[in-house]
Amino acid sequence: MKLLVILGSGGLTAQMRLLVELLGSGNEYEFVLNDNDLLSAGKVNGKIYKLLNNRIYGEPKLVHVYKTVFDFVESFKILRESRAKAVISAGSGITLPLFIAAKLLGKKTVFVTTWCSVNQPSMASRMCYRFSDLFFVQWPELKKHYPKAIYAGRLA
Amino acid sequence: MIFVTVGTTYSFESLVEEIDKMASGLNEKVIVQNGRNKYLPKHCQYFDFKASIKEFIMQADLVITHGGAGTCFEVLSMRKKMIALANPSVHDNHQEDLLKKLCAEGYLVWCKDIRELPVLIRDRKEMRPYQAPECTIHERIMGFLK
Repeated sequence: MKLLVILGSGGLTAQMRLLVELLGSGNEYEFVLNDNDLLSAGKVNGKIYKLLNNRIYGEPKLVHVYKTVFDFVESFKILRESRAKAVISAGSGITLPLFIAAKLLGKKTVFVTTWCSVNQPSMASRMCYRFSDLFFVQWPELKKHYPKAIYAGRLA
Repeated sequence: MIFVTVGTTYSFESLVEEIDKMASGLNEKVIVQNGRNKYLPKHCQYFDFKASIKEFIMQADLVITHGGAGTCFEVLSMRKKMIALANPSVHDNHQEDLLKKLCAEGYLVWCKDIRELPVLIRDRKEMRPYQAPECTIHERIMGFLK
């Protein structure tokens, strides 16, 4: 089946690459990147879509909101073009607009909280929890924040 | 050889400045992955980014790293001696949380104060080998989506 995988800075891309390797070559993968990500594209094989990075530290909150709305509209175009069955993310900022659009289009959403969240939920995981069909934590301590979360080990 | 890495997402100037100060006094080669830092070392070899830092970790006797989970897990999986520091430029303390956890479990040396670095480098303790908890995330996903 076709899966749309959301990449992010540094470790988020690394985790998604590991997950794609585990999910195996029986699936087809397409990827969504931040527009200012210069490194991730070279690390994956598959069609690439881009969205505006709506979490650039230091940009005013209003800019974050504007970009998120813009990304939400763009997400419909990406999801329609991609026709992926599900969207998978470890939580970059563009996850929220993509997940909401995916749910409205009847797609499945899978969220894996980042391996660096041991005790404190990340902002992305707090925002995307209610829009996630499947929600994983990578440290068991985090389950107390998320009743429906699954702990199924860690990517590393 | 000592390999120092600051990651790709944030700058970590203080670590590289400190290493640069110490480099000539250390009797071994020091290579720095300098990332987004504006400070450029004068006493050690450096580069900003590489597609993979595996070969540098492989050749190193000691890795000194920022508290990025990916790098820490990569070094742990290669069973190398590691000293890790939480990056103060990261705007919450999730790096500290991770290093505190991994240090408490005996997997790495956590340098909480950069002034401790020379002694920790000199001592370079070998910690217990890391075993990742078995991952079945992919199986659960495929089971759910089929």
